[in-house]
Parts: sequence; structure tokens; C-alpha cells
Amino acid sequence: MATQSEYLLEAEGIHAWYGSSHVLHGIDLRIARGQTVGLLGRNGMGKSTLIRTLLGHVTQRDGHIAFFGRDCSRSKPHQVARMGVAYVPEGRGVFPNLTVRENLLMSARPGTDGRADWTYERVLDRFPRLTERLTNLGNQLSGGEQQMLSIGRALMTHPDLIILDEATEGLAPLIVTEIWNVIADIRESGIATLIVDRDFRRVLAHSDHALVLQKGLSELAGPAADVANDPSLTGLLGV
Amino acid sequence: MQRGLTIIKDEHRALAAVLRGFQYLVQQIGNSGKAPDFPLMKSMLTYIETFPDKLHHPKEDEYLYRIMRERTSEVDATLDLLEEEHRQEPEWLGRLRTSLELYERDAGAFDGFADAVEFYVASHFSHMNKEEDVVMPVAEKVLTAEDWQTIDAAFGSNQDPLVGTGTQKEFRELFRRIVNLMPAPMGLGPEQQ
Repeated sequence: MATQSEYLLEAEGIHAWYGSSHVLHGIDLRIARGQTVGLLGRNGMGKSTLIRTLLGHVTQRDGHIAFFGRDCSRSKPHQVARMGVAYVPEGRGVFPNLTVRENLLMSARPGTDGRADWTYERVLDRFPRLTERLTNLGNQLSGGEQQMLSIGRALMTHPDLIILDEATEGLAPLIVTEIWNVIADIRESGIATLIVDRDFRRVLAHSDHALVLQKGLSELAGPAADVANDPSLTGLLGV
Repeated sequence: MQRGLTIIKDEHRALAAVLRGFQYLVQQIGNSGKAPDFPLMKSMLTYIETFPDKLHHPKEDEYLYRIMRERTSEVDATLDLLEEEHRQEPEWLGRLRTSLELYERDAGAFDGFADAVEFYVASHFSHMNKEEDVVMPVAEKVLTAEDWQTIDAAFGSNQDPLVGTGTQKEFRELFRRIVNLMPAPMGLGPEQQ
């Protein structure tokens, strides 16, 4: 039985290893309900590892992870997903041999609180291009279409938290801007989001809080506006 | 970077994406003989016609430029130029809209339309570059915390602070339509034949 908690996600003292390589060194991260958190850092600083650890993919891990106050420190990925966490991975992760319709419908399930407002029709209304591609296979879609499908699929799980890992990577400027519009819509709908993206200014503009990683350590954390104005930020991001 | 400036740059990028998309469409017609998509071009024109006028420029004039003038005269000449360009904007757009209408009636008017698009896009990029390269760095140096509070609140609002309507949502919906009509790889629409 989940206990009530102010935070949707509480991660404390997270360590992770790949073999003998110690990648994360005691990271703390909290996400309140409906909050947007930006995760920043140069390549190889531990952002994706932190996400994979939170989701249960990295087995060599230590520290405390709780969703809705329920300890998930040793949970497996499918158990975390059932806690109301949706993941839009770098590379999109659509099923290449399923149609758009199948990709969407196979993921549909009510939220942890019974919400079912992100219906198939609502997703198609939000991503009208998918309507024209319903019978196309995942691998027949453009990069932008795949990203819309990936986000639409995540919404159909009625998550409390969506993790977007490099959602705009490799896309044309118009599509990138549209994805940021989608992120704004998600934020306004009350779903919490954890965003990783190279465009740190946009991440900070769309976030309530931010965390900057360097070499697996939390170097800067706080309200996004404070992080944006911190003189060390550009040095940490190498810009 | 201050939140207000981040939002201005974000709005610039949205506008730049539409302008580049418009330019791409016109180049596709001119270079590859693609059929013109008039409904798409009209949607884009509506966006670039209303977005700067309703949401973006008023906030710049009323908040960023005005407060900058109160704090320094260092960039007065650039602000004069930028304000003049804001005043000229309706004329540039009028020319663009007229040239599109002419082209829709007469395919022979394509060159005039293409020139008007190039002029408009170049003028807008020059305008945005002046704001980002000249004004914003000085703003970051001279404006006070109180100034930023005012500017951040104005630009951070989901509503047009002057008109008080939910215009950002409308722009987002119009932008979505453009992205979904725009042919791949620039947008999500089907590739042009």
C-alpha cells in the first residue's frame, strides 16, 4: 500500500556502477506532483545513468528511491512503470514492426488513480499527423512522427511522471519547437516531468527546478530561475 | 540568464522556425518545381503576422525597451532602430501578404513573392540579432533585480500582458497546424511530390 507523500519521486544518496566504474556519487532528486524538473550536464556526466537507475535498469545501485512514498529502491523496470512513470527514451523506442495504432493501443492503461482522460482519440487530436499514419509501421515514420508517437504512447499510460530524455534530438527546428509546446501542454495538464535536453535555456525556461550533474555528482540544484542565474552554470555545461 | 530574456529568445526561435520553414517552402517551389501549398503559406503568414504584433513586440516595447532607456543610454541608437522596425513591421507584412495574393492569382508573380519572402525573413533575422547581440548583453549588465522582476513577470505570463487574452494557447494551436502541414523533413506533413 503506497503511503501519502508530498513528493512523487524521492531519490536520496543514489550511487550507480557499471562494472567497476562508479558513475553516480550520492545524487539527491525530488519531484513534487505536477512539478517539472530539468536535468542538465554535459555528455557523459551521468544524466542517462541517473534516469536508468531511477527506472530500475541499472542493477548495481545503492541509495533510496521512492515513488509516492513507496520504497522502490530494488524495484524492476516494469514495477516502476506500474507506479505511474512513463519514459520517452532517447531514440524514441517505438516498436518498429507494429503500426502506429498498435503502438498506441498496446500502451493504453488507466493511471494509478484511475484517470483515463488521455484517450486514443485525444492523443490523435493532439498529434493529428498520427491520424494519417495509423496503418504505417513504426519504422516507416519520420523522426518527428516517431517522437510524437513516443510521447503519445507515454500519455496513454496516464502517468504521474513523464521522463523525456533528449526528446528533441536530431529534429528540424519547427518540430523541436512543437515538442516544447507539447511539453508545455503536458506541464499545464498537471503531469510531472523530468526533462533532459541539450538546449539548457529551454529546459530552464520550462522547469520549476533543475539539477546539474558533473562527473556523477550533483554540482548545482535549486529553483530553475536560480540555476539559470548561477554564474557557474555555463562552466558546468561547457558553453 | 534572466527568465524574461530566455522567453524572448524562445519566442525568437519559434518565429525563426516558422520563417525558415516559409523560406524552405518558397525555395522548394523555385528550385524543385514543387506545387505551392497556399493554405499552409497562409497559416504561416497568419502566425508571423499576429505573433509579433500581438504577443512579442508589445512586451518588448512596453517592458524591455522602456526599462532599458530608464537605466542607460548606451543602446539608445539600437533601441531607436528596433522601435522603428516594429513600426515598419505592418508595412513589410502588407507587402508580403499582397505578393502572396498576387502569386495565388498569377503563377507568373512567383519571383516577386519570393523576393518579398526573402526580404521579410532577412529583415526579421536582422531585427532579432540586434536584440540578442546588442541589447540583451547590456540589459544583463545594467538592469536591477526589480527591473527583472517586472520583465520576467511580463514575459512569463501565459497571457498577453497588454491585451489580457489567452493568446499563447492560440499561437500554440496555430503553430501545431503549421508543423503538421509542413512537409517532412522540416515538419510532420507528407513529403511533397
